[in-house]
Amino acid sequence: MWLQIILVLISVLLFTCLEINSQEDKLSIWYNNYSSNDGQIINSPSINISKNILEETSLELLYNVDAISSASRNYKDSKTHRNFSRNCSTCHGTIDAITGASTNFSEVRNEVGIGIKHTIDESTLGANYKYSKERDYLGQLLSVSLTQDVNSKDTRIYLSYSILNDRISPVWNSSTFDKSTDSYDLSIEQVLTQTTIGKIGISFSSLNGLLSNPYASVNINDLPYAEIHPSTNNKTTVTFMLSQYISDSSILFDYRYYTDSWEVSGNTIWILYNQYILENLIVKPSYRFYTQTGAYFFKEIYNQQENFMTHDLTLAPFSSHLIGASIVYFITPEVSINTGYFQYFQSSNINYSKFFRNNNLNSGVFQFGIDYKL
Amino acid sequence: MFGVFIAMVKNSIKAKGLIEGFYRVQRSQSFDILKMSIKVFIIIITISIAGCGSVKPWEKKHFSNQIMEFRAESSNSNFLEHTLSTIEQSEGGYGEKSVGCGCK
Repeated sequence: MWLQIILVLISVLLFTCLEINSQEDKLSIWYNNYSSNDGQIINSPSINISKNILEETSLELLYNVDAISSASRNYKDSKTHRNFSRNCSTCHGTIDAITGASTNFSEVRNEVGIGIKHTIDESTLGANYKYSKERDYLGQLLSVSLTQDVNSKDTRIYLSYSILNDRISPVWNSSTFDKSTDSYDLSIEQVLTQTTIGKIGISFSSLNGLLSNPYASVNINDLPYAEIHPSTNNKTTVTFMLSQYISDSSILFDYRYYTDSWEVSGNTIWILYNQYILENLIVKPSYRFYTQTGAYFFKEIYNQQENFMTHDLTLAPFSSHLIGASIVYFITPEVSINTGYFQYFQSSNINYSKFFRNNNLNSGVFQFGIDYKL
Repeated sequence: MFGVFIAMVKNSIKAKGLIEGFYRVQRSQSFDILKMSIKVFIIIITISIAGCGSVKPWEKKHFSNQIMEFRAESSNSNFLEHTLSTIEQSEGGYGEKSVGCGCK
């Protein structure tokens, strides 16, 4: 994995030496870490570069790795031990030499992406492709977009269509399942005053195929049955964002309303405050509140088999808080160091704890990155 | 790799197509909510565009400042959004699309 990262880094660095400089040319190298109270840890380095290759055309490259490990017994049991027909090392990183017991679950997700943007007058056409591969999951995304500036650049309209195809190959048998997602996005960004920008957006997604987790199960009278979700789901999202400049600081507010055909609706409010402490140092505290209703087929207890059954806690009613801060330090006007930490708290009234996650998930996200304007 | 993807796209176009994909959304149970959202969206657009005078180019100096960048456009937002979308049902709405399982 590290060899791949080094090769990509070298390629990127060579690539950066080739072309002309531009305001939009940028190299970002980030390390992200996620850890939760149910023992899951994700280490995720990523590298992203956007570079003008012609006067009006820019290319973007992305490489990202998620190295996932979990010491959680519940997680391991549900993911690898149902109908299991392969040896332990298929899924577990290390096996105890004496007892033969598995000590840790691990897997790696690799993601690469390429995008191109071409500007004609006030219009920018874009196309993106992303490829993500892990042991049992292949995802491919293709998207096209149009950004149009109008009204003396006071208004920016963004239109996008994307198609995402996933192929799921559970580790415990040779079956494969497909999932496809079509998404339509429209957003409008508007200069409201000399110090205020607003943005509103609407997004529709239509999902088809295997929408349940092939490893998850539902207990009925202490016997495990496979989780069953409907094979379609239509999602609608409406967002409203506001960015307000206040002398040497700014307040960013965003609100999102989400609803889907499984009758889950969610509300998200996120407030971010930016403050220049020094000329080259910005502090960014933020707070996010989220609440959602449960899916119509979600139950804590199933007494008999039903058409749709789930114990997936992402489909349960709950609320959550995210609080944290990041710091941006400009070494030079072109190079900045970024770091931040965010703590996530989830609370629900669910009374069981036999499945993927702790009911009251508590997790932290640490981020460190360097942005370099080429 | 690309062969598999092209086959997927062809199947997708054959089976659904862009227009049928859109009508599938229409057929959904959430169509009423969707219609209401579109109406609200159009009203907000009309009010926001009609209600503000044009800001001159030289009056837009603050907009190039990094602190005016929308949260979803900052370098660190992708990982946070992807992570949150794997532990909550709500997702999307901020432009960037996640790919991969996330073991949701």
